[in-house]
Amino acid sequence: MVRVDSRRRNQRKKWILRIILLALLVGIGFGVYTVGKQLWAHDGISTTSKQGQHVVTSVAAFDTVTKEKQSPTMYNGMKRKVAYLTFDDGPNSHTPEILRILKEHNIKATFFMLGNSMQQHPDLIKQIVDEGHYPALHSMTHNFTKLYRSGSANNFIEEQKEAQQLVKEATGVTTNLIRAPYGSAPQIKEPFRDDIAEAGFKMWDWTLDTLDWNYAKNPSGMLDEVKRGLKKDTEVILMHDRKQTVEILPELIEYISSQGYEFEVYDPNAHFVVNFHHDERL
Amino acid sequence: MKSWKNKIGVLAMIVAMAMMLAACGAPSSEKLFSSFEQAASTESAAAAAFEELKQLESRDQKQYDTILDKGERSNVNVQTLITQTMSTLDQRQQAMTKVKDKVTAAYEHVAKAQSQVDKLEPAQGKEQAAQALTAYTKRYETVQQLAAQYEKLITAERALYEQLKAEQTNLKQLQQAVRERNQQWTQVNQLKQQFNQYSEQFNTNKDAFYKAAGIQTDKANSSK
Repeated sequence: MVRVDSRRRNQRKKWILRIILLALLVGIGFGVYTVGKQLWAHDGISTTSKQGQHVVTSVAAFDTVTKEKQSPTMYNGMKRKVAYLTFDDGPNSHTPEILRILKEHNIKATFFMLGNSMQQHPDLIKQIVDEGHYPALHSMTHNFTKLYRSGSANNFIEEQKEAQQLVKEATGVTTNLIRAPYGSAPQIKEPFRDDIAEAGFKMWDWTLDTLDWNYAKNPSGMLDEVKRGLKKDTEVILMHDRKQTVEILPELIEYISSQGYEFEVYDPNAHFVVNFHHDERL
Repeated sequence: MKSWKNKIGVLAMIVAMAMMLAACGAPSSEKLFSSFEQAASTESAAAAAFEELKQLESRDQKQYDTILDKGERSNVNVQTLITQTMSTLDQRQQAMTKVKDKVTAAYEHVAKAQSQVDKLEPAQGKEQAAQALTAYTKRYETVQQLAAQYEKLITAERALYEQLKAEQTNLKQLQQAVRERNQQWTQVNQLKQQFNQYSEQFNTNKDAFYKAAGIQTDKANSSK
């Protein structure tokens, strides 16, 4: 009798234990299901607002507050005078002579080339780059009406882009430096400059004009212009690929050197502003 | 002993079934939403690093100009300022590393999301979801390159400040150091712009995906 009672009690205990275990398993299963659902569906974060709408987060972007650093021309009591020789309207039949003279003096210069001339002398574009000079752009046509009288900057920018492509095809170099035919003032106003900056170009005018166009029969006039104008620590000197330039170039170089100037070539990594409007974007 | 093994087996089965049920429970669009938003939310922890970087870079630019200005006659006048400016270079690198780490951690949430995109129907914004995922992946890859490139920029910045600080510095060497720094900066700037483009593409495409998938959203937040 005692043994029967004991067996019944044991069986009852077993049933109770089984029910508790089942309840426990169901409870754990439900708990894991709920947590799992949250993890999979909502990943444990609350993404739903009170109105039943999901809260959305946008990812961030960088602020680009820095810019190129300027090279000092005066520092620690030292002063450096630098001259940039620049040649417009080439390449043409005078360019090889200019290159020869520059090579003789171990000077690198900056060439603002016309697209129409580049199409006729692709070999010279390559020579300019191969010899360490900087290829820059001066439009395709140099046509004042087409470039500045259309009512927008479109023609100007299109021509610079076309010229840019020619340089790239000939040399593999993508240059962004341009010079506006006839200079940037007065014809290039602010909205025009907005478009140039937007297109990613940098624009150089000059600080000293040799007025070579005026001295075809008297190249020494160019030297006089330089003697009169050479004053700043950094000078960007305007010349053209012309006969008179070839004739006077050795003397110009000698005079500029004698005044304590070193010659530099444009470097996009050391760009500085040289435009008549002092537009910092260019 | 055998009965405990059975019980553990039953328990494991219940747990596995519950997880599978939970996984199957949410539609792919919901899972993608969750992945995208969890990623964006994880990145929000980097907001301070983005801001810190901006502030430090801005201050560096101003201090460089001051160093050149006040150091014209003698760099003895600017030794302390150069040292101060150099000390923030490490902070800039650290801030960039923080950004990279947060973006990397955030990317974990979307790294395996392609299978969910594949399950979407075109009407559920499949194309937009795919584009958002591509943009986010490229953005992640870009930040890896950016962090590496930023290290080179910091090295070049340090070399430039060392030049400015040196007693026997000369202008030709300074110019060379500036060129080297600007070269590295140009590449960093390009990568930043690339990163920003992908950020915009991700934000735009995920919004378009939510709209197409019928997920109602509340644009209250930004990670920055």
